[in-house]
Amino acid sequence: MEAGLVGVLDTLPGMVFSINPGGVIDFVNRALADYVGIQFQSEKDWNWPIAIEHPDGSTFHSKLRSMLEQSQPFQMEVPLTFPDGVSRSLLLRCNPMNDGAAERRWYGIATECTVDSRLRDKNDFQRIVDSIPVPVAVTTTTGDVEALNNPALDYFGMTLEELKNWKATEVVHPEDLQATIEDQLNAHLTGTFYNVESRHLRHDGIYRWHNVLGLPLRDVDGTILRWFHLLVDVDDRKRAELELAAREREARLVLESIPAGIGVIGISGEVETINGPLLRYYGRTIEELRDWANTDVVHSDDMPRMIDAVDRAVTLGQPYDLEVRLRRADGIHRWFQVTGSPLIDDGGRIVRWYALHVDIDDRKRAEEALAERERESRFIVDGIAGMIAIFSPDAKLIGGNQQIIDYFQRPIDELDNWATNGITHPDDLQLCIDSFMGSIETGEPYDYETRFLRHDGVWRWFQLRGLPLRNTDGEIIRWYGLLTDIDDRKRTEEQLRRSEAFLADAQRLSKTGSFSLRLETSEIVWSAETYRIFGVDPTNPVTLETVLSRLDPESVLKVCSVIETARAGNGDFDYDIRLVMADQSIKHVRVLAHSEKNKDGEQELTGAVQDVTESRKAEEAINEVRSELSYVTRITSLGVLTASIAHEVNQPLAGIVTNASTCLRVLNTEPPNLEVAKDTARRMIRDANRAADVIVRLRALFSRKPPLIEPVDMNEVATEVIALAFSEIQRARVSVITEFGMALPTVAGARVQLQQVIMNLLRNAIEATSAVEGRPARIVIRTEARDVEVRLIIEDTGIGFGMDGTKRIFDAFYTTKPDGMGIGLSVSRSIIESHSGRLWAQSNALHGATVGFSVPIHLPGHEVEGPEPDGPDAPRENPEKGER
Amino acid sequence: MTKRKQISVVDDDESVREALPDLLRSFGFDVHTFDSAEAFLRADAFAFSDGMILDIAMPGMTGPELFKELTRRGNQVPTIFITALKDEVLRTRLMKDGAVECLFKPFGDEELQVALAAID
Repeated sequence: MEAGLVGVLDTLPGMVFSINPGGVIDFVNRALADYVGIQFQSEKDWNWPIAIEHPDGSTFHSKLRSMLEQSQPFQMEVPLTFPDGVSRSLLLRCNPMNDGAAERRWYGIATECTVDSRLRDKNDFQRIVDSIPVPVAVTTTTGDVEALNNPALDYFGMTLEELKNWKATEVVHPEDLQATIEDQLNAHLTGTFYNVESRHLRHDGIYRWHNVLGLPLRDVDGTILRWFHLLVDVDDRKRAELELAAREREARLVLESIPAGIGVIGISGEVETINGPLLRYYGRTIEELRDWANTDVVHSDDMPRMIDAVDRAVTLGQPYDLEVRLRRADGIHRWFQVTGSPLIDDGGRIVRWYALHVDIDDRKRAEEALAERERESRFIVDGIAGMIAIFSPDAKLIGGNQQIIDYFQRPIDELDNWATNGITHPDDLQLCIDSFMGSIETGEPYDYETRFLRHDGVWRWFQLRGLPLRNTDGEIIRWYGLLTDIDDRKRTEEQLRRSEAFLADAQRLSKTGSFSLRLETSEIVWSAETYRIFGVDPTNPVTLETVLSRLDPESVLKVCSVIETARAGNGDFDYDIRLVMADQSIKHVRVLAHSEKNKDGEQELTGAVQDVTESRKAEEAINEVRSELSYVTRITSLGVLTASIAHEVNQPLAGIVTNASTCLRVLNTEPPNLEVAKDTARRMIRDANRAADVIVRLRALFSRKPPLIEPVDMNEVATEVIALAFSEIQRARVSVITEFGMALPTVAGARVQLQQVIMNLLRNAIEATSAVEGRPARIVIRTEARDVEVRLIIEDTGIGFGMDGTKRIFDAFYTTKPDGMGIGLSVSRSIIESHSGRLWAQSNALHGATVGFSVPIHLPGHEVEGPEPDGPDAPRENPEKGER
Repeated sequence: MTKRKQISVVDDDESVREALPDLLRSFGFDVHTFDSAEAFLRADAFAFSDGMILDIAMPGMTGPELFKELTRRGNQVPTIFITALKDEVLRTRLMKDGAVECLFKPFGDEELQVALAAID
């Protein structure tokens, strides 16, 4: 822009600017720049300091752009923020420069628009006020009426001029005047709004209620310029309220005067009010009762229910109706029925609760007394340990007690069909019908037993007894039936019968009978098996004579002695008797008995008799078998022994033959060597004798002649056995150590039998020891004299007897050896026992076993035949062997 | 005439130890007797024994064990076993192992002589 023109424009007493075709302000004169406080430096630098918080501020640029596009003169306001922080608007008026060029420039002037907008505000205000459909008044700060809208003019029926002279006293109801003035005054003083309800005089002379809202209008500095007063017609509501209040007052009167207690509870459970009668009943004030849950006004037993009911009412909206005891002022509790009902508004919301308290104490007491009587009679009926059925004279079931219902878990009318509905056991049905209907016809009491189906499907036995009840004329009016559960009794009977049968079976199978004898009366009771054992007809009574007549003489004495002892006092008896049966056969009977006072205080002998005839026979048979076995053992040992015997016999034979050969040879020499010949001959005789000895012993071993008892040197016998077993010992690689007692007395025994026993024990030890690996195989054979016997003990380091072997090793056929016959030890034991000795065996603490036997020493004169006893040095303890 | 051959008799049975040497001497042998295999070994008798008459069953070391031990040491002595237990199985095995003979007691002087002939 030319400098001259700029000078002109800057000098103009107005604000001008230009906008280039790009919409950018390219000139601002000094007046404008000064006004907005932004100096123009260059193009594109200058812009309006727009007050963006103003509604028009944010839209200014977009509005401007659309104006610029239309190439028409326009005017628009721009709200600006000045450096002093004040916002004011400028009115911009722009004209395009239409110089034919394609690009338009704009020139505009800006003017302050304060006055204009105030004018507009005023117009807008009038328009808005007029459009409000309720009366609005505008007053000055001094209370003078400045303006009124049309609804206000219409309501009051006066012109603005008339109303300008309005004094509040004339349009406000005198009764409300005071409150209105106070409120307005107060609002004026504090500069806040006021809200008051007051009646205003309508044009037709009627006062109507209005809710008057007074608001102050302030200028930018916050100074109150005027007051607006909005009058909302609330007349109808107000009247309704007043009406309601009147009704409430009336209701209140009713509440107070009705002869029942009423409590009003708010929606959150708080006590709003309680009527007079109830307060008087409690003798408390409303304040005291607000916290009723923490008082004793409700009986402590009922309080939880009461609290719960009120809680549920408040939280869940459930009405309640319960009976509680309430404490009267004098401390007496009376029953009340308390009914809580909600008061519901039009919207379906609960507004409050009314709790009606009605005194039902007298009724309650009457009910309780009645219930008590009923309970009592019911208790009697239900308390009977049985089911009661009541029938009409025509056999219809018309009643029953709780038990009968509990048992069947069916109603009475269903139970009436007992004959067809399956509750009676089919097997008993005919009997039931016959018995019951028979009684109905004849009028005689009935009594029978049947099974009834319990609800859980179990049949139980019942005893049914029925009696007719007759009226004064003797007619039957009822049948009373008692059903007694006898199932347990039945079952016990059955069990008893069964256990008796078991006992009888057990007695029969074990051939054991029982008996009892009352010693004072000689009364005897026998079990069936005892009868059988004695061969007595069970139908006959048993007497002591019966018993004694069956016994052999020895047994009679024994039994009499037992009875004598038993009579004298308590004791246990165990003895054997023999019965002589009718066919003269003998029965062996073992008796175990015990005498003591029975529960009646009488001395009684009770016991068991067992027929042991067969076991006796078996025992004898076993003994026979045992002696057979003994023989068999000897024979079976033969194979093994043969080798040893051959060795024993061949050794001297070899000597004889060799000596004989030598003898012949030395005699055939020239000259014959007689010295050697004599030696050989002597040796031949010795060897021949040695061979003969062996033969003699062998003969004794293999003959079944009773053994010859003779004085036997145990050491010698043991040595011989070791010699006999030598090859076995060698084969088994076992070392045998002998610890023989010195100068042992001889024992009385059959040499070969003792040999056989030692051989048996030694061979067992060898086998047990050779079966073990990892420790020295060692057998110690020890002999010693003890008191009047000599012992031989064989200790080995073998496999032992196993866990429980010690007890069983003497049982026939028990063996720990896989290929053994196991008869050795039992036979050995019988041999030793026949020598009046003992044989024992035990497992060692560490390894193996110890087996030993003892045989009594030989006493002169006791032997049948044999060499003389050893003489003065006979029985003597080995001094080197102490007590073991 | 060559030196008389030495025969050792090993037997725990005294009858044998008494009877055999006289017979062997009548055959023209010199004889030593031992009552156990251990005694034979202790005396190192294999060194001077041209032959041995050895009992099978003896306490401690048995005849066959002595025989085996000598074989192991390489000190073999021609051996005639004698035994009171007639056991053909054992005899066969001993013969197989290199014994000169195995005689069952009682045996006659001819049998013994035949066996001793093998040692000569």
